[in-house]
Amino acid sequence: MRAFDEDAVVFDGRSGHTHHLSDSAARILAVLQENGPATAQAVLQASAECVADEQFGRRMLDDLQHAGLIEAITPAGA
Amino acid sequence: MKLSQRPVPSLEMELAGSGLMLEVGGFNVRVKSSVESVVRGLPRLYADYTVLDSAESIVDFDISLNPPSQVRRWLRPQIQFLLDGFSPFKPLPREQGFALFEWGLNWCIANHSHRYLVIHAAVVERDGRAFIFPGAPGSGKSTLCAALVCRGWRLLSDEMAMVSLESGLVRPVPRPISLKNESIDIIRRFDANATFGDAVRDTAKGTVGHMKPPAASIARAAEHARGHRIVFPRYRADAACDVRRLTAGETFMRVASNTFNYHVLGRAGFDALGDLLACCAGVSLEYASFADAFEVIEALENEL
Repeated sequence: MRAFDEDAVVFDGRSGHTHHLSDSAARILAVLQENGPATAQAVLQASAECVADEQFGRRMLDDLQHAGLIEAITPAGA
Repeated sequence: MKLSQRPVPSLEMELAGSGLMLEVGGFNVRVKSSVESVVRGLPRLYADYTVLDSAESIVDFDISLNPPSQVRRWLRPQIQFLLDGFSPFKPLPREQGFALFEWGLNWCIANHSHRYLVIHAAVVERDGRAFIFPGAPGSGKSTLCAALVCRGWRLLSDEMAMVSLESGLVRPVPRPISLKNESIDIIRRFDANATFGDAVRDTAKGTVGHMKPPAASIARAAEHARGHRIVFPRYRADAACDVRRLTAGETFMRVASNTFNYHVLGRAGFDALGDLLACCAGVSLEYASFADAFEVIEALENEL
């Protein structure tokens, strides 16, 4: 992920696609990247706001969990 | 030895025989052709390039431009572009020979330079600050590039910004500037000293003319440059000058969509583009006159 001041882009290594995230999602992800583990709920909130591609959203959460940036993935709607 | 120092009869013999080898922005290009437009265009537009000794230099691109068959020498004559004996394109009418050489060489460089992120963009530089102008065909990037070059900016390329995956710097590949339709006369009027090759009519892009690159830009082809701003130009007659700052994310996505090999490079391309944007802010510029565009570019040039 490249986090800039106002927004960010994420490279999905499995599809080779690049995604542009909205301001709020980028801010949350930047905080996650800088500060380490956070609750999955915050990430879910971010992904719901920013990721129109649901499959990519799931993979992003999976990657974040593997990278230790979130503690656990909470099922959508939980 | 520069090509301008080669006597024309000797040049014609080389082109028709073992080939003429030129150093073009660090690429060794061997050309074989007996087609008149190529034989006439090369000494006019590549006069300041270094001629290499074929026996002692490794060839990067071995190019031949000749009729595809004996029949096509006489009946609606055509010309075929071959790279290492392989034809990547359909033949074109014979009078488009020099333009086909330019388009073919663009293709060679863009498809074989994967140590670089190759962006479809014009690039000029002054005082160590390179401006990258990505843009779709027709956006006016080459016209603006030509005008800046006529005003003393160094030409790195009018067609591709080659960003090194290692250093993040832009590699120059100064070549003739390709102008289309009205842009040819606009630049002729803008700078009476600009040298042009023959205008070729009825191409897929309309009328195409090539402007000779400055000798000073060719002499500095080994000097890589650091990107300073990425400007998306758009010419619109009678429009008010409109400048808009782009977010880094928007700039990223717009540049990525203007690359030749982002999909080939994958993660390395993503990282290279991210690093480039760390020092290059993006701006969209809509302009109706060179004076407006120059004013904006000079203001951006002075930003830290």
